[in-house]
Amino acid sequence: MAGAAHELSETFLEKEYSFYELHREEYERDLFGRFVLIYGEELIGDFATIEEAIKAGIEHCGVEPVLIRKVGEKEVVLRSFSYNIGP
Amino acid sequence: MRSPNFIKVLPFYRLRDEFEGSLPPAFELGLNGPRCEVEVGLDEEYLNSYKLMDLEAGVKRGLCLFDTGADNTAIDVEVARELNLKPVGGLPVKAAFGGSSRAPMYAFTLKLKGYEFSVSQAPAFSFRGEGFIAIIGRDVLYQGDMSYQGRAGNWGFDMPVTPGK
Repeated sequence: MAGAAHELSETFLEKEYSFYELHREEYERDLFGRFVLIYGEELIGDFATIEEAIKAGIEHCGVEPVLIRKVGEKEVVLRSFSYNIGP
Repeated sequence: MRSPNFIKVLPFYRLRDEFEGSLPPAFELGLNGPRCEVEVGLDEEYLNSYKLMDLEAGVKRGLCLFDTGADNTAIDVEVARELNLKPVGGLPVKAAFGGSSRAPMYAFTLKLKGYEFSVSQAPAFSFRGEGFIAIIGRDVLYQGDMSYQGRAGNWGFDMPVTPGK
């Protein structure tokens, strides 16, 4: 039953993020505030809620990784967790 | 000149060596942080989609750490794999010495202390060897009241209102 292991990496969803960046202007003009679902180099659809996008993602490609992003939302960068600061 | 309220602070890993066997509650809490039992699983919202695709999803029980220093709730990568969760995005993580990576993000639920939290995009990291399977971050903590009584070795978390509404 267990799926594939996906870990922190520089290349995780690289294709999907490049595709999003390539179309960012178009999405921000036409789909602002919508949740886009991208798999590989394809926009699968846009949705009003993240739950709808996740469901569509599962029904499109099972547990394969997809990019779901709210168009226009600033991406946050994580710096650290407190538990691993220390000796 | 020292402050009249001067206190010398020793790291726990040094103090731990002074105790054999069980630790006093204050040290236990200080060493391990506030932890409690948690059940992690697929959000029931997605059960039908899993069924449609003939996918299975599991449930995992273990400990979670309440981490006031963490922006985000997170789960262990191995747990995400065991539960057959679907990655639904990547969270950029800035490395200490430059460069950046992305951590896979998942949708799941956490059941603890009588509450159920639905998380739609939480990152997964390797917590191997840490003794917990999930971290409860401030995205959950801000919705409740957390208390920490170090000397007594007590802590608590309460939600004054029904969450998820």
